[in-house]
Amino acid sequence: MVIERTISTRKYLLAFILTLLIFSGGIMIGIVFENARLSSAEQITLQEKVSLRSLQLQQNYIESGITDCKTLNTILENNINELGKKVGVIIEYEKKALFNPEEFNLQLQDYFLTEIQFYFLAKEINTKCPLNNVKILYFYDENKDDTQGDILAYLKKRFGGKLLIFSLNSQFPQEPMIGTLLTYYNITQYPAMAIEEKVYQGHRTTEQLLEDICSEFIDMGADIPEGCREIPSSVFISGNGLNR
Amino acid sequence: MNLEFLDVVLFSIYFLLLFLSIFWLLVLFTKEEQKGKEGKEKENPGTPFFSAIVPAYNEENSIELALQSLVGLEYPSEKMEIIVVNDGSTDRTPEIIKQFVHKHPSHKIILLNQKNQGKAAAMNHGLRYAQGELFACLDADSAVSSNALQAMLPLFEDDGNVAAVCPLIKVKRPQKVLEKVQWYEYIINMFHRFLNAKLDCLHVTPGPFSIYRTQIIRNIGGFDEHTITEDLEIAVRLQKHHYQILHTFDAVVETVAPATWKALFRQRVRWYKGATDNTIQYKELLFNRKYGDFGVLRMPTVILSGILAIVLAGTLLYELGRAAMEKLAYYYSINFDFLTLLRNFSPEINILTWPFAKLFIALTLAGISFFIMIYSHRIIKERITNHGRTFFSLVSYLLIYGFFLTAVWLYIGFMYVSGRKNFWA
Repeated sequence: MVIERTISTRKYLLAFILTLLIFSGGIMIGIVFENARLSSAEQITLQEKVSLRSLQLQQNYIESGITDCKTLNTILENNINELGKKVGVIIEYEKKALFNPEEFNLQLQDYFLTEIQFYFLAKEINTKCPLNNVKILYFYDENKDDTQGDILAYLKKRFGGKLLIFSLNSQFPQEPMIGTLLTYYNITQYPAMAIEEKVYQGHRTTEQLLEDICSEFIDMGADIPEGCREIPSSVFISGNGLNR
Repeated sequence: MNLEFLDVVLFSIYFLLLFLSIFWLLVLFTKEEQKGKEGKEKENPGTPFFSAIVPAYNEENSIELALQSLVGLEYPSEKMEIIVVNDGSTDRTPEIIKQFVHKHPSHKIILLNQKNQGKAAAMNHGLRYAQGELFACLDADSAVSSNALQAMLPLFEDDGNVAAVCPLIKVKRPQKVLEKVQWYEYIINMFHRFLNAKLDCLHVTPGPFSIYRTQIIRNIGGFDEHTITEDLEIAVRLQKHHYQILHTFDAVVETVAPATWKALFRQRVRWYKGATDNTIQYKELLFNRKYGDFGVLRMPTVILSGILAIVLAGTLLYELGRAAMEKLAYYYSINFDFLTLLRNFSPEINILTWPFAKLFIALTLAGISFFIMIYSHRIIKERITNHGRTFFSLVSYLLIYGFFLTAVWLYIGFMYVSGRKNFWA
């Protein structure tokens, strides 16, 4: 006499269906939150566009005295700070996109365009107002570890509003303007940076970047930020005016 | 779709674990499965002659208590015998046994001596002398409750196909944290056994006081002396011959749990390696529909759990290692200037970036695990907070013990890959 062996087919099927249902629940929740992320991205981009228009309008009235350079520079720095923070959010949203990657891509493209517009606007403001900030156009490669971006984020913490960083994805074929900038600056190697008008290709260390940035501050005759004063003297090439 | 490798691994493992958890919950709550073995009316079992075999190797600290629990069984002494097999002990074990025999003349206690050959050989030695229609093995570090035979023997009645009955095993007086953690583990394991028994899927007849039908064990050739886990091997062999293994929560055996991490690690490596070896040895049962749920679910699950643990641990370790290296490279690149980072620290929490789909599935799994923990205590009629345990230790068990067992599986994987010998051999 042996035991009657059975296979609990119905239970396996039911367990499979219930598992699928729970997974579907998870996916539904994922879709709901992805839609929320998309709305949030749209909101962020819109906000930045409004800030851009406001700044454009204000810079038109510098000569007439309606706005002054100090106020304009403060607004510019605040706007670029926000822009820098939010680009990270948009990039993260885009990376997490599972169901609407095209929409997130469009948002990112829109955001990059706004960044570029801000960059040109900042340069335009600098033609009318005395320079007191350093602008870095940073081209990252999304397929590589972004150590350079981390270093720039650290330097941003160090210099605060005096350092304006505009991050652009060098591997973003959807936006021809990025390609145009790469061609204009003759960039073929990533990561790359245009610090004011000087182009650096390949990875740069914290010390090199500190030197690059602080030299720019010296060249423009602006106040030397705290971030430069704390640098060990050995970092700098002697005679650049920082070794005091 | 932006799916990373880690996501694919996590979702696959979530799916499998969730599927298995739901399946076992269905087994638990399906009414037609609940009748039968557990709820079986206890008939008068009669008093078949019963043999208890106690293999002992250097058990001077525990052998007396084990024997005491056997003579304390509520069963006519003329209907039972105790066979102690001294497996070449080098301590005072034989003397203690002789003294015990002398003190209990009303009981038939036989002492057999052999060179150290291992537990399975000792069991076979005892089996050759056993006169009982039924016999039990009792590890010398365990003690059995006095009602055990009344609770277990009726399950052999009316069905000559029942080859073994196993009791409820608990950790003996857990004092240290590690013993308390194992207490939880034993309770969960017992609950799992309860579910497996509903589907005739028991794959182990534990050393502490599993009772066997003597003739069946003799017919299938006794215990395998070459395996490292003879209690697992004999159970799989019984299943292979389509015999039935039952269990009951009414008989309780208390066993000593390892008190150090090292001892526990060695024990678990032996158990899981043994289980894997057995699965490989009986591979013809794997996914074999002839063996019902035992073939299509129980046998593959042994190896599957190991593979899942290794894949999950490997992927997580890789990802964590990569993240740690990136962080280290970053801190190095900024000359470990933590002061600037701290001065400008601003926590930016964006709930929208949380992985809600993964969290939902993981929380469902955690909820099921927590439910099983609570429900298993209810079934076994134990309070979660017994023996000074708290809900905190319960949560610790759920969170930390998984990592320990994963380490065990990783080591077993390493043993297979490197061809390393069993360290207990």
